[in-house]
Amino acid sequence: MNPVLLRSSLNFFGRHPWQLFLAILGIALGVAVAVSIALVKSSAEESFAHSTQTIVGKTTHRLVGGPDGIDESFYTKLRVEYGLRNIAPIVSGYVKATVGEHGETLILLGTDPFAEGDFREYSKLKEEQADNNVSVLTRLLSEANTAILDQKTAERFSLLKGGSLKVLSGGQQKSINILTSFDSESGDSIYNLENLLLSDISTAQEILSMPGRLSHIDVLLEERSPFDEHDLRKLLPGEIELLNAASQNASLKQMTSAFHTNLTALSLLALLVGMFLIFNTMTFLVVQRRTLIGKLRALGASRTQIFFMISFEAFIIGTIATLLGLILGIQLAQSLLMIVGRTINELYYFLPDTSLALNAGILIKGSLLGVFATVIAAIPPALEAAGVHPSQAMQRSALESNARTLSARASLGGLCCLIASLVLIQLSGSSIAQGFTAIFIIIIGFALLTPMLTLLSMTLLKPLLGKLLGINGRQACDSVSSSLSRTTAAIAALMISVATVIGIGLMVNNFRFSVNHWLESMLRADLYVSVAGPTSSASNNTLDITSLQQIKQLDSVHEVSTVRRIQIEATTGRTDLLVYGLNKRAYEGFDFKEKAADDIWQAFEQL
Amino acid sequence: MTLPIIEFQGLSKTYIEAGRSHLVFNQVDTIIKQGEFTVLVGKSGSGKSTLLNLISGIDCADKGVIKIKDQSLSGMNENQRTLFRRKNIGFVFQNYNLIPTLSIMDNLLLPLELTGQINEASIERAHDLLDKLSVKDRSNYFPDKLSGGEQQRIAIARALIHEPEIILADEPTGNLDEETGQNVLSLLDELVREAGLTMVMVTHSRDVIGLADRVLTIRDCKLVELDSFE
Repeated sequence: MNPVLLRSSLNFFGRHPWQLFLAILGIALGVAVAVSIALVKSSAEESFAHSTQTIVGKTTHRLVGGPDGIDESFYTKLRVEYGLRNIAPIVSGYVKATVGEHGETLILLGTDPFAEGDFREYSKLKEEQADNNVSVLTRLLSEANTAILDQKTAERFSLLKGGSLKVLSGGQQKSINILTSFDSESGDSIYNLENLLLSDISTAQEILSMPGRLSHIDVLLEERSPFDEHDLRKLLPGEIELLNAASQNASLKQMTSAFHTNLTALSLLALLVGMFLIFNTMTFLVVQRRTLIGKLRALGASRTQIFFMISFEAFIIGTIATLLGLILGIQLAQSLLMIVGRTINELYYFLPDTSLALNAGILIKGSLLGVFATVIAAIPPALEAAGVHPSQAMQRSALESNARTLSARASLGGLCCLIASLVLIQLSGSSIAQGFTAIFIIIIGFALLTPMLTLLSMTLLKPLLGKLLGINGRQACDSVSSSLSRTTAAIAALMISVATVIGIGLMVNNFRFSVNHWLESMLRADLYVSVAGPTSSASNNTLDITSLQQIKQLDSVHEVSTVRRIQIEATTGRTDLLVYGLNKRAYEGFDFKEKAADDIWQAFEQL
Repeated sequence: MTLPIIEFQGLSKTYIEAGRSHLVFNQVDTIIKQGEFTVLVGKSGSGKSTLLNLISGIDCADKGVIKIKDQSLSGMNENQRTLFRRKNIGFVFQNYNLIPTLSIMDNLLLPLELTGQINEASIERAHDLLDKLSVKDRSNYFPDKLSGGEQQRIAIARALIHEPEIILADEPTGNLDEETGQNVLSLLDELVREAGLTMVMVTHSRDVIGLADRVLTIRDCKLVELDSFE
């Protein structure tokens, strides 16, 4: 870029620091939102993949039972009677650990270290020495209610050197003796997982109130295995299913696909609005300097020099704004990740480790997005600036005269865009890409209609404002109409920003209304009693029957309904099963999609 | 014998304003010789500034040929005309047209900076010009800190800095008071004659007419030579 034009640009921004600040802020916000949402999405996915992979290990298949798991005698039968060696029993569940005010949900994984060899790495555990030269492994197996904790979690609970940890499971508080914490640097993948409490089978059964039961049996079916999938199925009783580990992970992933789609849609919307803001900012910066550009052209600056001046400005602004946007995006992602992690934990599955993963690919994409979007958005105004006719550019009247002539054509283009977007919306179905293209065309359509709508509204407002404010009112309207090239860029930018705020506000409100409606219809009782503990372990949390009887006997209690929610493993994936004991008044809380409610309730009562 | 530097052959120009076309020049044939100081007078809107724009290549003729130093502008594209203007023409505008985002020194050196021909000698020449025009102490200022007379002197210096052969001046004293205007005119006349340059000036000032070698006006879409006292 020519040095004198560079100095001219620098001095222009030095004289208009707020404009520069707003331009940078607009671009930085666009980049920050897009990057933060992408980072949150990838961190959540990575955390899920990491925890699943660590716990699943080399498992190829999994034997699952009903909601109460599998009887441990079946495991013995498989190993002793049928000679199946590549199998490992697992008792797992969630517990809420508390020390003082600090409370966290932990995964309790009960394993049989002797059967684990083929599935997960435990070498460090075998070597590690606890007190009196007795290995941790020996103590874990020989002492009741003992477990080891990952280092990071142990640090948070001040249990690096062991100690007692209080956990809440199935509404009951229990104590676990933490022998030691394992080092995540050991190389054993199992140790890289946060929020993991590792115990033997019997301790896990005791803590999770699953005496004699296993959550599942991990199976490793290889080519050299004496059994194949078909042989194994033949040995299974009716209530036990053989599931493929990979398909099980896929079905878990599928559960959150809608959630991730929403996050993607949100980041695309942020990108779209960000790009439009960038385009408007750059257009405004050019329109504002039209006379100056005209002077430069008259004094011998070539079109290429002017084009490069504007493009270079866009590149520098885009680069600074992108750097700022990346920093903001990472900060924003850190805050968002907690919210997103909590939502996933509450609605889908437990994410043990929701630390932010700074994915280099996303940061590079974000950088390219910020810089390229700014440069691309600056190309039309840069071309316009380069095409400026020196004699016309030095006369504002010529520019405004052209703007008025163009406004009619722009309106026609705007109407065509709106029609095209309506057609695209009809054809888009559930395609997000097409939906966003339609939104983009709508934005362009309304932006193109802005000059004509501005002229019309000013013509209509002029007599009214004239009566109310006299000459000042009329002058205000004339001023807006006569500077159409500047005012419409600002009006269009403001319009899109306000439309986005209203659009997102309406969407959130609608969602809130739907949730409210659902809650009002579903939650008809005055009080709800549930077992204290982590929400993710709903299957294990059952109120004992004595408590229920006591509640029923209270004078103030008129009616009681009971519900138990359990997750069952089906061939189609994990499914929620809800078991109801309802009173008649609770029937009103159900809306059925098909058949008459009376028929359904009649059938329900006959069950 | 003095050679022709600007030639119009069958020049016609129409421009469109508010949807209506106006014929400004119709089959104009004129020659302006090297070193001549030509003054162009006439009513507002008669096409005086359009003629300067045509000579500088900012605007194009609809018909006919404009030759500058035997080179036809009509055969050049926009970029070639810009490069030609940058090298051969110095422009002095009524409203100075200094670049508000550049210092006085940068404004002055702009024509050279745009061509990348800046060197020690040109910087020294810029200082000499500022000294001659009595604005040397203003070199680091920005235009908005200068008076109208000072700004026009800088504009004159800028028109001369790259040693063009033709100076085009569009009512250079139009925005100045009488005394300052006189001052600026004398300086411009002195510098142009000293360098042996050709100058075409649009003006309403009678004082300028007295200094000119030729006086032209636009009558019935033609360029007509006037007696200086007409």
